Amino acid sequence: MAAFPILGLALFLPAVAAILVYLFARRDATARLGALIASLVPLAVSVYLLIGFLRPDLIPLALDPIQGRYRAFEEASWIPQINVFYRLAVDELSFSLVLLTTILVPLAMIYSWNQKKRVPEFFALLLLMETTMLGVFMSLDFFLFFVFWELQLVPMYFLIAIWGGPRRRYASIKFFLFTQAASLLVLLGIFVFYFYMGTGVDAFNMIAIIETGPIPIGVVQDLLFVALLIGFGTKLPMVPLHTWLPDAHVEAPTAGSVLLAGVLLKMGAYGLIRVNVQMIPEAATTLFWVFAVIGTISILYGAIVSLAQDDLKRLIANSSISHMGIVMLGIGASMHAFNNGTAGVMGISGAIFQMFAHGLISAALFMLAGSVLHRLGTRNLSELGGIMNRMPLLSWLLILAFLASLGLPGLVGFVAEFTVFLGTYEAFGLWVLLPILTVVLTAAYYLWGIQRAVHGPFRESLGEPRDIALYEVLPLVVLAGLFVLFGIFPAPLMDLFNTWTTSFFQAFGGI
Amino acid sequence: MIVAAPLVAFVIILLTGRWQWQGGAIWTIGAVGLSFVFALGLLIEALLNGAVGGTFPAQEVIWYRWLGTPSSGFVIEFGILIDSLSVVILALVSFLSLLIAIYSVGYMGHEKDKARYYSQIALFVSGMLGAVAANNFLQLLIFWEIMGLCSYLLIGYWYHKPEAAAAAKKAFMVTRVGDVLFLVGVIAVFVIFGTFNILEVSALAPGLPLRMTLIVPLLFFAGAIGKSAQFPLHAWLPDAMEGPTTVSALIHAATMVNAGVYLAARTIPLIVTNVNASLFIAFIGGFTAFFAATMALANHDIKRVLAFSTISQLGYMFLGLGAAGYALNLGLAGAQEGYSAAIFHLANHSFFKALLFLGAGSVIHAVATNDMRKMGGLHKRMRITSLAMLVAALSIAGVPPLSGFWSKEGILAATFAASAGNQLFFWMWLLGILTVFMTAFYMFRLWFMTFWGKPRWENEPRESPRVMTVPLMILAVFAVGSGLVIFPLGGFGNLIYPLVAGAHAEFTAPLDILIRTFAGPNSFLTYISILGVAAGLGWATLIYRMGAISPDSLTAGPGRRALHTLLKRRYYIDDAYDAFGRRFVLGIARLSDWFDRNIVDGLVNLVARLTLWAARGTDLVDRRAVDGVVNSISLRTLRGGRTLRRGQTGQVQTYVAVIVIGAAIVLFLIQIVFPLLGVP
Repeated sequence: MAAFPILGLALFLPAVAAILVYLFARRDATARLGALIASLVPLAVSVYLLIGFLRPDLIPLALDPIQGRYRAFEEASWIPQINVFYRLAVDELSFSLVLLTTILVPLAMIYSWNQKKRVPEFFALLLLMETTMLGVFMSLDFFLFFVFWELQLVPMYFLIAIWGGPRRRYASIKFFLFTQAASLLVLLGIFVFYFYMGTGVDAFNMIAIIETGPIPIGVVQDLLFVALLIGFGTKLPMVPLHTWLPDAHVEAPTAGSVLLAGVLLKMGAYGLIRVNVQMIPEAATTLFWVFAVIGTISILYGAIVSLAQDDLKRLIANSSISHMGIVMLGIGASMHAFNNGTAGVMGISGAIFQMFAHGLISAALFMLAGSVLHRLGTRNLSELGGIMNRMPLLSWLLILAFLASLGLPGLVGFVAEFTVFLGTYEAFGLWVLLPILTVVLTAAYYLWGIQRAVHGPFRESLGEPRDIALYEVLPLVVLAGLFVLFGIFPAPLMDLFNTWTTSFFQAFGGI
Repeated sequence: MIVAAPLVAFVIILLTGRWQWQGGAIWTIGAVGLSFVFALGLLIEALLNGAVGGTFPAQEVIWYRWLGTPSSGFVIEFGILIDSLSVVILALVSFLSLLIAIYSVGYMGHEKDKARYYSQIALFVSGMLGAVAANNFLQLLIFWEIMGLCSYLLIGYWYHKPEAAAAAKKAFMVTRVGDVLFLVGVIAVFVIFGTFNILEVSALAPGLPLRMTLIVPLLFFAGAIGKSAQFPLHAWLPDAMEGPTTVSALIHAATMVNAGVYLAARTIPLIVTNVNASLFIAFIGGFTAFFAATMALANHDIKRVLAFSTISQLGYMFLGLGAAGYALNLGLAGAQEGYSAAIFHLANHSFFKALLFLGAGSVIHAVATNDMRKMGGLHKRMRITSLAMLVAALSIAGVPPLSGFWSKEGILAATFAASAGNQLFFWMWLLGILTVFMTAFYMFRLWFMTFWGKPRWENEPRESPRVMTVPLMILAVFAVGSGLVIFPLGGFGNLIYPLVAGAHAEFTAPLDILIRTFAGPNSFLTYISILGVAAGLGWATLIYRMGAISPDSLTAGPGRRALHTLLKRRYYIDDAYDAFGRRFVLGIARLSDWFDRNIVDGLVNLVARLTLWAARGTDLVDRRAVDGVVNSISLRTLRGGRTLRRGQTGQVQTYVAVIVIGAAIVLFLIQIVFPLLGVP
């Protein structure tokens, strides 16, 4: 029996549903419910895949023919003239992000339940976002990958431009231009791969590129590395190409922020690992210091800038820069550990875990920031104060999310940071003291934030706010549950990532 | 089970406490009681199985695999480690927590939000028990941080008070500085030995590479400095008094600060690898003991005085541990007992410090203030509390034969013995003796100011209810008697001996202990220290009881006043930290933010503006060059777009422009750059 294309189902069902919702949903309630149901299908597929990854004996997934590492493989010819294929599969790396995406989209929808403005379009765009994001992670054909990579800009752009805050025009254009310019470099990189693979063969096949490693070692790889680093790094975002992020976040509607921080940033990290590390590993090992240095700068710079923020959402956005820096540091640590002749598993595994952890945590943080604005009319810490007195539920969830983000042991963020720092020590020794400073800085800005906004006497100028409603609590409680779950039982997920990293280094070491 | 019971109570209260009697206090008390029963069972089992004499074997129980795969050589398995050290502390912690939880029913009776209080207390206790029982350093760190979280939440229990919120933040931040270094230490140990397991690390410790022997123990010790509030990370503990008094008692007697000492005791195999590490620890301990005691002299807040005394007493413990580590490294006789004396002091201190805090709580409950200047003459009103506090004060001052005397003597004797190896230990011993004098003085200053003299209170104080006084009485019994266990145990070295090769446990007959202490060749040490106690006690009596010397005369004259201010301002260390945080760090943050918004972003906007001009140019060229039909179609599309989506007109042009420019760049690359690079 030919395998049922479950990835294709997860990928296109939201898009189809988006069109249906946009065209046919007359009432807001129908649109909401329809969109939510449609977004649950990919989640079901994710769970199915998870079982397939953890227990291959229960659910055997179709493997790719070249490396036998990519599961739920499906392929069809698309544009035969230039050897473009429709080719989907997931490995442990992309699966973690598929899982993250499919978790976050339904939660973002539930959170947006009381969205009043142009409801069918809003939910249709969220569904469209899901398709494009999943497409980026699932595609193993460069052409297809880039199509989704570019398409993904469109729904996000409209989400910011229509439902955004007062400076939405500036922010949406900035977002668009930044990522568009970065995309060009990615496209350029894809062409380089294509031409080196040789036209006429299956030259967009990402698995084949990983398998053969077509780019000659030396200047070409290094140049390509830098181009792709800028391309993917802008999305990450890395300092100094990060300034689009705070603006985009501040203006984006909450659901947009959730997906922006939760998933879109991970596309950059995914690109770095999938392309920079996996396809030109020699350049990535020689230029390990670029990862490490930029990572460390992003970590500290993001944290320090966060300390000076008054707008809660800007604070969280800057902390995202800091936390995504940890991903880069982890990659750099792994590559250098490999130079030193050790396995170097911890760095990249930790980086992947950090992507997953940060996705969950930042989603919760942005939801909370949205609720603060919605209920209190301001997000400025200097105008807030003592909200614990009137809104205990919101306050406790905010404290919990802050604690998760500052890497409190026992919650999910700690596992990731700890593993990355472990890898960093392994690779760089006591230099780890430099990036690990962020642990103190992060605690400082979050605790100071709590002190100013949550604790203290209630500020009467905030009126008589009501505590958050069920549609806000529900997704937050789910996320909080996941923080604890993966904080206490990280092994199943981390095993997956370790498997990925180990097999990567085996393949690379064997070249 | 010991750890899990309070954890379960935490979850239960979290979910349902709001609707229960006393906010679910019964769950916390029941769960901690259950922990105590189990811990006591373990302790008895250990005692029956040769703990006295040091033959109780360390046992491990594995719970589950937390991270890592067996094949990659990176495995972290969570579990429990039971040996003579953890057994003693588990029993101690659960016992004290139980008493404090019971006392809370009275003390917190009038509070509104009790479910929050009891759930966090339960979590706090399970954090401490989990840290002590942990079989690996990472698990220790996790429970360690859970404790940090709970102290944060409980110090900030009255979150609406700005001081409480600030104190909570300070506690978390200051300890976190130590925690980070601790984390690096844990990581370093893993990278060196390939394991987090405490037993394995202890066994491998002698193989620590030479250049790491100083840095690794000190990284761990940094964690202990933070948690146990040693210099220079002591600043959080006095401020932590903003929490309810029961929380202070829990932090000072049962959890939190003891964890630091436990960590140092746990890592002794690492510490002994380097003489200077031991020396450093002893020095920090000795210095802190003295330094904190001076600050206790000049404070009027009853709880703050107790807080400084805790810092000071913990300093003794580190002094003992450092001396023992030093002696073990050099093989000196007589100083190794500093180790068990330190643990012994930990236990004794826990009893009398819990008693002092709960007593202080009882007083505060009655007069509704922390300020000793508003107390006085309470002895007649609150006889039980007053006598219990007297017992505790005598014990902490080190009056024989109360418990504090025995362990403090042990530490000082070990320090003196270590001076055979290094003169510094002699000076630290001297600091210790001076601290003994000051301790006696400030404790009796506290007791006299509170319970004797003219009444200075405003309301009518009454003795606290039974639920509060019974724990006081129980603790008083221990404060008197817990020192005497030294006799059945046959000296210090027996129940808890250092987990290091070469350490040995000797059984000393009870009579020999007495002889050694009071009539041996070094018994002059004992008498000097008793003299110190007597002097401090006597002086305090003269000033605060007899009124023979006016307290004001202590601050008379510019020199004395300056000293008093210096002590009162805590040597300006808190102010310095505050200025560092507020001026320096925040200054850098503001500067970075400005840089980010104006320079980095300014550049971005400049590029954007230039691009826009270019785009307009291209757009013009486009309109003229591109043939009219296409143009009109695109315009129509644009208009269609406009009607469909009000709100983002104009931007579509930018979009188009960008794509055009993008295409141009790609073409440029393909046509010119690629051939240059030799791309086919």
